[in-house]
Parts: sequence; structure tokens; C-alpha cells
Amino acid sequence: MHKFALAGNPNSGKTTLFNALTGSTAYVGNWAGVTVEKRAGKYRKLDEHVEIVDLPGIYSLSPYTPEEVVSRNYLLQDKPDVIINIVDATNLERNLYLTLQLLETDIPVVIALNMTDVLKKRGDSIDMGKLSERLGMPVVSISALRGEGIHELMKIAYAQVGKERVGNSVLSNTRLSEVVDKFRSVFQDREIPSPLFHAIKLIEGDEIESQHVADIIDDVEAVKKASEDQDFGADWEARIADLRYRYITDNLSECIIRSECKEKLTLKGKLKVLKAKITRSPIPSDIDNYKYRDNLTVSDKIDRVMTSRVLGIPMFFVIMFFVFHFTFSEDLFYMKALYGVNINWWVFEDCGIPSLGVFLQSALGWCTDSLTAVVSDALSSAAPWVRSLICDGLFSGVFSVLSFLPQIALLFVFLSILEDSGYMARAAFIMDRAFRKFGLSGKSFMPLLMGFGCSVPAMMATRTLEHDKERAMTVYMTPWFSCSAKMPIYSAIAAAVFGGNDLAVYGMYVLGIVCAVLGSLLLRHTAFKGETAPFIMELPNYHLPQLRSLTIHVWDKVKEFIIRAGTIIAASAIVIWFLSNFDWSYTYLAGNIEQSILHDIGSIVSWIFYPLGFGIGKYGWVFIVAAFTGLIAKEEVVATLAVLGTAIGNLSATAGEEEAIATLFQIAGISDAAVVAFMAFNLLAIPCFAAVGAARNELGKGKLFKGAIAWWVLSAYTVSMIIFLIGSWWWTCFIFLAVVAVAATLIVLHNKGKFNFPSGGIKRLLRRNKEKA
Amino acid sequence: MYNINIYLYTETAVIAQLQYFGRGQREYMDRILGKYRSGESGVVKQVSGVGAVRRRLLDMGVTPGARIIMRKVAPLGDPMEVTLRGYELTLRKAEADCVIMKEDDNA
Repeated sequence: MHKFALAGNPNSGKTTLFNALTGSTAYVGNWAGVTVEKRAGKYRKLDEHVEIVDLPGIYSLSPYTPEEVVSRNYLLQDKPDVIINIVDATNLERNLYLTLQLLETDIPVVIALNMTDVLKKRGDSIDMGKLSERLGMPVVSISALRGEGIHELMKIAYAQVGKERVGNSVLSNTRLSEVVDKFRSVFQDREIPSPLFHAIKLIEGDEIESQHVADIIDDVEAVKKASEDQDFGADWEARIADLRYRYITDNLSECIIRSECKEKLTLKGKLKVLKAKITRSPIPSDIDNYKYRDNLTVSDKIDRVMTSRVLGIPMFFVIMFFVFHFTFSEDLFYMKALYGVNINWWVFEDCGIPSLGVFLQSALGWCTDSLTAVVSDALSSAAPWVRSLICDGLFSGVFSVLSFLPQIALLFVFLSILEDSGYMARAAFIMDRAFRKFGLSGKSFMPLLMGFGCSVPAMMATRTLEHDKERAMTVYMTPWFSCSAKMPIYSAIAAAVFGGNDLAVYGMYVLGIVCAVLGSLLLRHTAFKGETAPFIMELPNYHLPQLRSLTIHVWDKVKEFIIRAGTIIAASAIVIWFLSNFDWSYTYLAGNIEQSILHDIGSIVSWIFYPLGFGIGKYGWVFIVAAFTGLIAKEEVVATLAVLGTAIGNLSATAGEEEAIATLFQIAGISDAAVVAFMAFNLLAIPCFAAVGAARNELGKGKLFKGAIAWWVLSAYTVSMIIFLIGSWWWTCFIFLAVVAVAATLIVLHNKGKFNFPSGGIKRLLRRNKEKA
Repeated sequence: MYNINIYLYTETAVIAQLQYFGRGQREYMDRILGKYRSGESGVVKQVSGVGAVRRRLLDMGVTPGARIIMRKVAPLGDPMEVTLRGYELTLRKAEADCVIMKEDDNA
């Protein structure tokens, strides 16, 4: 099957074109080794089916970002038959910069000129014949949005298959042509395809290229030295970039036929003219001044508000408020709060008009509850353990995770709308300053804020962070922004132990944020130290999000979540069910968790949690087991505590959750400090399996993901321990302060190169002891 | 009358000198994109810096000769928004400090 690669700048309409071409045949994966999305699909309307591979959106083919390296490797190693280069006609200059680099390969290129309709609206047009002639390849005008010209594009691209093409470069007609030719022939002699591309990258001093041909590097340096330029000196990277852009402005920009300037007067200008007319005085000459002329595009006008100095940040929070309000509010129009409107209908009892998210969640909850009831009835004659396996193990585990699906999906819809419309880049622009200190960028803000809703879409949203370090740190911190499922833990425990004191709940939220700030500072100076990644990004024009791309995008993520719920989460739910319902002789205990394997494991490991305060005593295991079941979904912690409280306290089955939990804490006899430590542990430790899965998707299987697990466990343990110890014996705070001060000083000194941590000190010590013996 | 004329003459000279001095100083300050104020524009003279930052700047079209208009600064005072080659670009001040500018010939 022939392969066509789709290449182009971000925001050039590449994804829209890809969706229009491939329709339902598209599948999403990752490029090998990196978390860059790979999308591929088939185009079926030609004589034979053609595979379309969507390369990531890139501006250049430099060796610095994973997106660009992936695209470059694909072009050079997998050798697609044709490159379809999508070019945004409204931004010809920058888009053609990539085109010029693609032309240096030996692969036939076809240009899909997108958004010509937008250009027409402005009154401009592009001389396609001239552009095609200058670039030496076919140019097709398309509208990816409306699907116009797409089939013609594919027909022309198909005609290019199998054509011999030799790469050409704009450098060939400059003073550099000799140098380029020299190295091109070197690559040609070695029978490497696309010799011109390699030669130019080599001259640019490209790291990847230099590694391949280490033997001629000295030669390259010598030649480069001989033909240094007055303006650029030894700066070849700048020289070549400059030549490319210069070629574009000199030769290609004239393909745009600009209409007469049709600038309108601003309100101020109009008023001035009006005043002159009324007073019958001549129209003031400074009207011609740009000051009174309005040459702003729609995007500029929106940005006047959205990124303004005064309104920018308030607008951001207004937008985020509506996102959360539509997803999580149980009282959408404040009818209940203001007018006492109560709705008692179907699954809704005593609440206001629910938001879409809450409505869908309740509806889904009703469906799953009914299903569980029906299945439970149907299995009434089966063995009790089978019924329990299906209803208590599988269904309750999977359904408690699935119950978050409507809200996750809705949050993701909002995120995609913000992303597609171009607002996400503005949000990053607004907030960047606040986050840079912690080694994060403005792009981290949206995911972290989403964390208050649910960690899963929040972690998925970290995909927009291009740099591994930043993405990893954002993922590490996301669970600490307490999600909606952690709220029940805080409120239930606060109600049972602290008499419903809201301070405990707010305190937990604040603790999470404080830990995230301190944690990112720590990571920034230890594991993730080094240069801050550049923040040089395009602010794309605002446009209406496309329903089609939106549904495809959201459906991909939802599918991912459902698959995870059906596989890993279902499996772990069954494992936890087994551990809590069976004893070591594999007999079914019918809910008597006190004899279960889980109880024994909890008791055995409870000593680990002694410093945290809640592992102590006869009933210490209860809290460990509860925290463990929280891995399925965090609100399971409350359910487990309630169940165990009822069982241990010998309460009647009708006893409320609050009573059960209160009794449990009383019987267990743990101090208030230990209760707070327990809440903190649940906040900071490994999030639910769904979130862990999402983290693994964004971080890959390797070090970063393992680091995340270790980070969550260690930090939860340390912070809970500090809380318990200081809460029990206040003077221990001095010890911790001293330890923190020493550690901070050592890290700062080490980073300044004034102090070295003894490497392998323990090993050396052991070896010395051995030698002595 | 004569005296006043001399007085006026010296005053204009002093003002002109002050203007020249002020302009000279402004020119000096304007040499780096990171120091531009909203609404000012200029032409790129040179791009300093190293590695990824520099390459990214070049790839985004910040090459010698490109005309850049400084649009605005973010609410918290750091990244800035500029217009070049017909599109909006945002970059941090630290990165804009790598861009050395010269006076705009057209302005």
C-alpha cells in the first residue's frame, strides 16, 4: 500500500484534513519511544487504498523537539511515497519555511493550500500558478473544513507516486551552493537517499546528522571555516534560516495578491470626522495617522479582552468557573440556593436544577444500579461467592470508576473546545510567569486546575506540554489538586471526627497545593534540574471549534478510559475483592473482612505506618485496608471505612455512614493528629488506578512513570509522618525544620558546584569493612 | 530684543540637544527586544543565545531583517506578545533578550 505523509505547521488545519481524508479508518497510537501522538488511516476513494500518516505539527525539522525528530525520522527512514504539505494561506511566510525543508528530501511533495477562503474574505488572493512554478511542485487549493478540493488533492498526489524526484534547495543559487554540493556528493557516493537534505543538515551543525557521519566532521568544519560570511561569521544555523526566510520574502511573498487597504476608522476617528463636519472645519490631517485607523482582526479584538492586563486573569477564572459549574454543579442556576426550588424527580432528590455533568452522572448511576440489581436477582440461586464476585467485586469496582465517565468526558469536551478555539495558548500566556519559578510553564496551569475536577482528564491534558520534564512534573503534581472523589473522604472524616468542621476540608485542599508548590521546587532543583525549556509559541487566531474534530478527539480519550476501566481496573477490582472476601484457605467469608487475607496483609505491614499514627493498635489495619481500596476510586475509602465501622462497632445495618465512621475512629482510638495524617496520606499517595493509567499513558513505561509512583508513595509517607509527629509532639517541628534547612542548603550548594554528595559512600564503607575483616 | 533672541536660540539648542541625547539613550535601550514597550517596532539585527532557544527563534521567523512589532505584555508582566511575519508570537522576556534589534527604517 502506498503511504502518504501529512506534514505541516500546528494550527494549519492538518488534523481537520486528516479527519476528512480518513474518516472512520483512523487509529491513534504513539510514535515509538516518545509520547507524541501518531495517527494513521486510509483514504479509500482512489483506485487503490492509500495509507495516510499524520505527522505531528511542526515548524521546522530541527533536532531539538521530539515532534520534529519523529517527523524527520519518518520521512527519511520510512520513506513515504508522497508528502502532502498543508500550508495555511493566511500565514504563507512561516508555513513555507517548513516547505522549503521538505523539498530538500527526494520525496515528491504536493502542497495543499488551506484556508484560501479566509484569505478571500480579507480580499486577498494567491497566485497559485506562480507559487507552483517557483516551488516546482503542484499546489492545490483546498478547504479542509468544508472538504473542498480534497479529492483533487489526492488525485494529484496519487499521480506523483513513483515519480523520481531529486531534492532541491533554495541554497543552491547562493554562495553556499559549492559547500552544499560538496557534501551532497559525499552522501551520494555513500548511496544515502535524500543526500541534499543530509548535506544541508550537516552544514547547519545538526547534532543528529553529525553523529551519523562522525568521520567527515573535521572536513566539514574546515570547509565551513573557509567560506565564512561577514554578517554571520561561523553562525551557520542562523545563516541558513536567514537564507530560507529571505528566499521566501523575495520570491514567494509576491504570490500573494493583496487587496487595497480597507482599514476602517476607529470610533475615536469617526467622532473626530463628525466633529469636523459639524463645525464645518477641514477634516484634521492626523486622521490619516494609524492612531485613528482600525486594522485589527477579529482575533486581535478578542485578545484585547482575553489577554488584557486588567481583564486577562479575571476572564480566565470566569471561564474556568463555568467549565466546573457545568460539570459539577448540583444547582446550576442557583434556583435552590436563591429561591428554594427543590426538584424531586427520578434519581434526583432535594436538589436544584442539575448541571449536565451531574445529570449524566446520576443517569448513568441509575443505569448501573439497576443493572446490578437485575443481575443480583438473577444470581440469587447461584453460590453466594459468585454473586458477590459479580456484584460486589466486578460491578461495584468498575461502575464506581465508570461513574466518573460523564464528568471526565465533559471536562475533556471543554478542554478540547478551549484548545481548538485557540484560548489554551492564551491561558498559557497569561499564567506563565507564575509557574516558571517552579520549573513549570503556563501550559501546566490548565491541567493542574483540571485536577480539582478529576486527575484523569487533567493528566490527558498534559499532552500539550512538549517538554518531557515539564510534562512529568505536571503529572506528578496533578493528583495533589484534590479531585472530586477525594472530597467525600475529607468531608466524611471531618463530619465524623471534627464535628463537621469545614476547616479540615479546606485545610486538605490547601495542603495539597502547598505540597505541590514545595514538591515542584524540590524536583526542579534535584531530579529535574537543568535549563528551562523555551516558551516560544504561536498564538493562533481564534476560530470556532469543529464539531467533527471535537467528537473524534473526545471519543478517542473516552475510549481509552473505558478500555482501561474494562481491563486493568476490572482486574484490580477483582483482586481487591478476592483479598477482602477470602481467607488463606480460600473459603468465602461473606463480608467478614476481619478474617480476610487483606486484613492479614494490613496487620503485617501495619508497622510501616506506625510513624504515621494510624497503623497503631488492634484496629490499625482498618485504615491501611481503606487506603488500599481507595486505589480503585478514592471515594471507596469512605465506603470501606463505613462498612468496617458497622461491622466492628456492631452497629445495626441502618446506621449512617457518619455514625459508622465516628464509631470506627473511636474504637480504633487514634489521635486527631493521626486522623489528619490519614487524610493527608490519602491525598498525596498514589491516586486511583484510572489516574495511574492516564499517567502511564503520558509518561511512557520507563523511568518517568516509575518515578511518579515512587514520588507519590515517598512524599505521602514523609508528609503524613511530619504531620503526625508534629501534631503529637510539637517540639519535633524543630527537628524537621533543621533537617529541611540542612537538606535545602546541601542541594543549593551542590547545584552551585560547591559541594558533592558522597557517591557510593555506603558501598565504599561496606567494602572497607569487608577488607578489614 | 537682541537678548531675548539669544536666549531663545540657546533654549532651542539645549532642547534639541536634550532630544538628541534622549533619543540616543532610547535607541540604546531599544536594542534588545526584551526591553521594547508595547506598540514599538523594529527590525531584527542579530539573534544571540544558544541551542534549542536560538534555533526555535530562527525557525519561528525571528531572523535578521524580520520586522517585529511589540504588542503587549502578559498580565503578570512576563511573557510578551509580538507580531512578526503576519502572525502572533509569544515569548518570554529572557528569550526576547536574545534578539538584538535595530531601528525600524520604515517608521
